[in-house]
Amino acid sequence: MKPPIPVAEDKVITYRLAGDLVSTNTEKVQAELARLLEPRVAGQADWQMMRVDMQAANRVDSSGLNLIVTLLKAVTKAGARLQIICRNPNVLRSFVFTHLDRQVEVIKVEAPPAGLKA
Amino acid sequence: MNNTNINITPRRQRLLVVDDDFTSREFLRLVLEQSGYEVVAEDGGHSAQQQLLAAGFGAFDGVLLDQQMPGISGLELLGWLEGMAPDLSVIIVSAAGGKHLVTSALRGGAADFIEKPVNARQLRESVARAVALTQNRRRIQQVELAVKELGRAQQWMIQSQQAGGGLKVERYFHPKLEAGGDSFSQFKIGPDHYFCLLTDVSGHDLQAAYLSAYFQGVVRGMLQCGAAVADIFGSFNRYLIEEWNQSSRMAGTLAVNASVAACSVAIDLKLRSVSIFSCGTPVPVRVNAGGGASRVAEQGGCSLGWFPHFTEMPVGGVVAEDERFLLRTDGIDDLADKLGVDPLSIAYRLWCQRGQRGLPELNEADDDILLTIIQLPGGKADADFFFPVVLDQYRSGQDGGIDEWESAWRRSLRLAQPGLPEAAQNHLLTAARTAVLAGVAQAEARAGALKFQISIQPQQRKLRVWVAEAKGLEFDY
Repeated sequence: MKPPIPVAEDKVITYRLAGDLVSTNTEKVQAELARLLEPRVAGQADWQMMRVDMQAANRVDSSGLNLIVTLLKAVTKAGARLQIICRNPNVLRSFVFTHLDRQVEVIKVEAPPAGLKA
Repeated sequence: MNNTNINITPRRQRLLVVDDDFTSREFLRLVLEQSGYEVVAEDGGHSAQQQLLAAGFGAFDGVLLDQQMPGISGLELLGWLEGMAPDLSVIIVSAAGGKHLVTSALRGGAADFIEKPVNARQLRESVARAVALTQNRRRIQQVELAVKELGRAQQWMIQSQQAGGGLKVERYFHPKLEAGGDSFSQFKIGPDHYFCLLTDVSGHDLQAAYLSAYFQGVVRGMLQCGAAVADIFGSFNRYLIEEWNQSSRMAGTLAVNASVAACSVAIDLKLRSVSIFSCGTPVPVRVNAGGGASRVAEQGGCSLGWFPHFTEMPVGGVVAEDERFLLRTDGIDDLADKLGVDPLSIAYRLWCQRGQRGLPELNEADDDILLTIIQLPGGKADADFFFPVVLDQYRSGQDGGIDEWESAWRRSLRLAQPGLPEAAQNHLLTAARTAVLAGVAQAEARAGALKFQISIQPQQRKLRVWVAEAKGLEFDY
């Protein structure tokens, strides 16, 4: 797979998730993401990439994944790209397991090295 | 066909007025009839009770009760009505409007309190509110009944069907609400051919239940017409993307699309062959005769409704006599993540309890939970079956490390077997830790991962630990 073309930081809009992305908060996150997306859809913003920072998330469930898929479609339709930043291996595993990592640019930020402690 | 318009005139809203004082009773009747209500008047508590029992509580939209009546008082009648028809709004009317009486009336469930002499405007406003309250309560009751009925139908569909042919299919279903998106069905599709379908529609609401049942019906119908599973799933994927998720219901900048996770198991009993097709559900686990467990594939696929070219996880093959397949929806995995345990430890508890409620951890689940265990005829008895409670792979340098892995094993064991003696736990975990540390180093030399498994046989009170392909270590408890 070709590495994605870099986007200038001033053309990136970032949404920072405060915690997990699960059924209990997807509605709230969805509303917040929609507010960010609306100006781009209306042609009032020219960012080229939406970055969803999920470093604070330890869990993402099926409702959360569904929201990411919907967001991907909406961002792509608006002519922009979606990038996900995650730290927790469980979150990354969810993207890999469902093959979402093949559709969305998922960047894994390394946690402090733990390795074998014993 | 002739279209005939039938005008159904709704009945007028009906009130029951109970007052022993003729003048007061007739005043209330007059004002309320002028406002368009149908009024039935009674002069005492006993006759009011008879009227309500004879006509039915549903025949009335509100009741006005005088407080001071010979025999049964207004408050006593209010208490009786609260027990018999809590949806029916009651207004207490009284000449003695002390604070204590007002408080007693409202605490007793009255919708309002009106002091005599009655002001006609106040009466009309109060009655209008009370009638609206009754109708609202009845609408909620009807919806609740309909949802419960739907939930019962879903439970029946999941729990009651038997495919036949000696196939043993155990199902453990714990819905988050009365009805939701998880479902399961099993049916015969030809001589010696059986089919099981587990589905999980995003969300746990009535729309999810509706879509789940629709998908189940589409798959069953198309299979019986000879279509291949991959084609059916592909067709439904297109339907979701091009029709369901494009409907006007999905208006808005970011309306979340519906998706369907599904796992099918096609079984040929003659050949003892099992083919699995999974999109979006956790990868099924197979457990062989010796108790060794493995996931049927390295990765799953994505849910239907996500992308035009969906990725699936087809697995085919011939199975041994006594192999079992564990299928689950992701509600178990979500709960496992929340509790920091292996999903199979939750599956084990469900299996041990045979679907009986009483697993308090299930109350923490944010999603429906559905587990099915499929066993071909002639398999090993439950008393000889080692159920996996931890199944994982480890690599050197992997996030977490041995201390974190051991903590997760301990949590999983505690959830799976709450009464497990501390000494047995420590004995097993120490041995497991030593074996994993040695095994990870060996696996690293081969640039691979170390396979690890803990299983329990509750009737024999035995725990077994597998590390890689080696023979298991066995512990009594």
